[in-house]
Amino acid sequence: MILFYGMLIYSALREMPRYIKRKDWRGGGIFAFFWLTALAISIYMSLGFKRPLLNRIIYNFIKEMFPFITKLS
Amino acid sequence: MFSLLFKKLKFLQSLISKPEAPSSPREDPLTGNLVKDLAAFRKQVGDSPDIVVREFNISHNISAAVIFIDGLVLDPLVNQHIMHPLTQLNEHDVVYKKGRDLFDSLKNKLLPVGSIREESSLTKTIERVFTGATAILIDGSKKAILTYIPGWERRSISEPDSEIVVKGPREGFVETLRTNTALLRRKIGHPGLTFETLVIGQRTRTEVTIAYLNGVAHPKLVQEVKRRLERIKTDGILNAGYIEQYIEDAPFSPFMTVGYTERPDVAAARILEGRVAILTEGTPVVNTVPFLFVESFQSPDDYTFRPYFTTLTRWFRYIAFAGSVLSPGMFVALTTFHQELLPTPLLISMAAAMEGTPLPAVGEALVMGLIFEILREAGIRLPKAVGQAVSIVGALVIGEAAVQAGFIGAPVVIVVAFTAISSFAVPKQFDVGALLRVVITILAGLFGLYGILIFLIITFTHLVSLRSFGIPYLSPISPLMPKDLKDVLVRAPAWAMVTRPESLDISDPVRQEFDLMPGPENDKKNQKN
Amino acid sequence: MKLEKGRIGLKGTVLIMIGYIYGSTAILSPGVGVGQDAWVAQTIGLGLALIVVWVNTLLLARFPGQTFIEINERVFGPYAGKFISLLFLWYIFHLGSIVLIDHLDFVRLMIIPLTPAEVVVFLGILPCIYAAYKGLEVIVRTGQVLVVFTLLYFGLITLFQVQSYDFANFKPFLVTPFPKLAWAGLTAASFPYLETVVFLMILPFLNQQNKVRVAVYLGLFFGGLVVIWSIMRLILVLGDTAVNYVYPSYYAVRIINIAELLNRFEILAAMNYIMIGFLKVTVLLYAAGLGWAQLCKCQDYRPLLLPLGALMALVSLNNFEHVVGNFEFTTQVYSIYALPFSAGLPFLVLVGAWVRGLPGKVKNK
Repeated sequence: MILFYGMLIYSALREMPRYIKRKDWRGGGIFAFFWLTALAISIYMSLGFKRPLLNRIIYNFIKEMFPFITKLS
Repeated sequence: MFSLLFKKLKFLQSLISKPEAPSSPREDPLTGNLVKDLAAFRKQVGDSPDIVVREFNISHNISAAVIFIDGLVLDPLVNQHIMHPLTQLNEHDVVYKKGRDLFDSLKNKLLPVGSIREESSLTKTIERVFTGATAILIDGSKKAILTYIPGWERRSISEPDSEIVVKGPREGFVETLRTNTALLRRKIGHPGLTFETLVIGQRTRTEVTIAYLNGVAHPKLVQEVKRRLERIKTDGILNAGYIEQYIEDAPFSPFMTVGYTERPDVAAARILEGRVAILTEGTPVVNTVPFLFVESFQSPDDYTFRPYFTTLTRWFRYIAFAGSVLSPGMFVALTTFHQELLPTPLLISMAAAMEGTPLPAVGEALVMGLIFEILREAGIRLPKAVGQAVSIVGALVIGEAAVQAGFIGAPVVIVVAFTAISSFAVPKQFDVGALLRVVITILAGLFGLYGILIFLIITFTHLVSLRSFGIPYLSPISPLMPKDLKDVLVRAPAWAMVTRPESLDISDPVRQEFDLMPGPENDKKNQKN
Repeated sequence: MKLEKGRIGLKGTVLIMIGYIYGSTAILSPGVGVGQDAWVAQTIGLGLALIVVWVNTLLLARFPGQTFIEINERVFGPYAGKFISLLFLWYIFHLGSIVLIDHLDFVRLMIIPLTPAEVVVFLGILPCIYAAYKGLEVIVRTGQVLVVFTLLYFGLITLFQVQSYDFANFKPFLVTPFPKLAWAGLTAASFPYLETVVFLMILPFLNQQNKVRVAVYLGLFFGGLVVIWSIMRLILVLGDTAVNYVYPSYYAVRIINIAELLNRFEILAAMNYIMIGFLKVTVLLYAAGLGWAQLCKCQDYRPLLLPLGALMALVSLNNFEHVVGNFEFTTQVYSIYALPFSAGLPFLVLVGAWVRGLPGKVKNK
């Protein structure tokens, strides 16, 4: 996980001054959004909680909605 | 990382006040009064022992002076062609008056020197004198006569050590720019061969000449080269390598995007292909741009030997380059992570050979690589006799003894030896090879083949993204130019290379006639009828 | 405002489309569930896809030089358009994370079993970010060489496997009940072929805009041929046992052994899977980055790539607990999940454009 932190810190150090220099707040905002989301997920993962698994959720949902799938495949 | 550093540099630059640009030479005209002019001259240049100021009289009453730098001009010739006619002059020979008439008649009739020009500014005169001119000042004339009889010590033309050929001319460039341009002229007789000169370096005043074939090289390329050369504002250019660093496209890339050669025939071939050559005074190395990756694998010998053989050698070079970059990494990855990929007998014998060595495979490979690099570096900088001692010590002590003592496994020595040999097969990419090799070895130790592959993909992407003077670095492979593969995958016979490299985007793509395949006369006739 | 200045050629585009389609099927070998009829299912899938993709070409022909995001905004206005764009971006982002984990699970299981997943994924996303950062031209020029290598490898393997071909493996021809076959066909259509919907973000940069349709169809068709042949080869070599392996195509390569000399081709296979996966993830990451930048009217898409790539890697780590779950997802529910995005969205936008009579004549001068 430390690699991901490194990557995020590097990207912040690299891009933040540029955004401030260009006064591109919209771009900076979307950058910050992704950055914070990624940071949140990394922290959550490194704290070792039980992770909700994205595709498992979708899988179970669709399986319940369309029960014929099990028969067909 | 580097770009951060670079930004910091820029920031520093903005902090310190803009460095005083060396004051542009003040226009300071010659007065026409010899005593005054000489005084002004001495005031500007000081009193170095190599500055020769010889004052004399033309006939009886007109004083004059000859100024030159001892060592930059050919003394006997100055005496013979300048001093002699001027001092032997008397009233009967020429109707002279002070001033303009005398000046003209001297210039037009008396000086048996080919290269001559007038100069009215003192500063300019000084500049010319310091780059090898001989100045003649005459009392009463507001102009100085500048003649060029250069005669400094120059090395004779010899075969360059770095690019040796078996079958081809034995001459190489020398340090003197004029000799180099002459060498090129002798290779290319067409008047389209154009030289343009710039003076770069405020202090060194280095002459830099670009050479291209008018009508073949793309005018935009020539413009671009000139633009990049003109923006160099530095105090000194001592070497073609300096120029390279100022004009290259990707300054942070480990790959060079400016080519170099020491051979006039190679430079001429590049110019014929529509490239631009950059000749720098004081260096026997000529740069050529644009430079493509595939050029590193070409040698002048390729074009003189038979095509089948050279195709083979070229592939050996590709393999050697891959081997020099990959083999330690592959070795480490295979022995550490993927033993199942090795054939069992090989695996067993290797395991036996490496048993009991203290370091893991990565460590061994890195240490041996380091020792090899040190040996190589020591061998280059030392006198030849000592160099041999170094190689003996290296081969015997480090190779043999380390294995015998059980410090290093024998397979590592074999791999590193192979790496070393193959890294010399592609001298132009030698530096990159060494760099990539280390990184790949470390990655292989950490992540096995996966690490190697990821790194190769990144390197490849980087290579694809590079450009040299607007030409993609990896062309003709990517973007694919099938026509140009005749000189990449194979080496087509000379008569088959009809077009110049398409990837260079040149004005005149056709090099020669199509129907040049040799054969007996009768057959040709039969075919035609 | 142009975010991408590069222009790409027809040949390169077709080649990366082939690579893109062949991409994950190289690893996952879809349709092995229907046994020897898998190639029929693939053919049905390809046929379906060739019909559905007509919508994409119409859309691109209507709005030459505009990406899907820009088209959305023109057709549905700023709010509804943005919403549709968001759905689309979510899809390609999620697809990217799935493809990433497909390939890296393979690496983790087969190449370096002891390395933690985080490290593998981190290393895997790095070249993708780098290539996407360098822009579209570099992606295409890198990709085309990788695809040519892939095709060479493909030919080589085909040749070397000849001795293990057993044509009896096709034998009970078309015994699968039709609904099952149709379902497998639908899955095949959505799994490799309709994923090309992401090229709605890339084809607008083709240097010959009138050749867009040619590019789409050539890429899809040849990509389909490669996939179908790879499935047929698998059946020829492994027969019914294919379904028993996690990575059947890797296993099929592994058993090549000619005269004790030409063997261990699995190293080539593994290299090839990683390269082709790299290509696919890069295309998706690039499209996602460019799409977000266009959606938010940023000045540059490149700064977004690092956090977006990190996010993609992190999401890919949180998709499934293990590789089998991933397979189940891909073979069973993926088509229902993906079809609304990959076929529904372009269709919706096309209908919208048609109803609103866009683009007006003014723009087409």
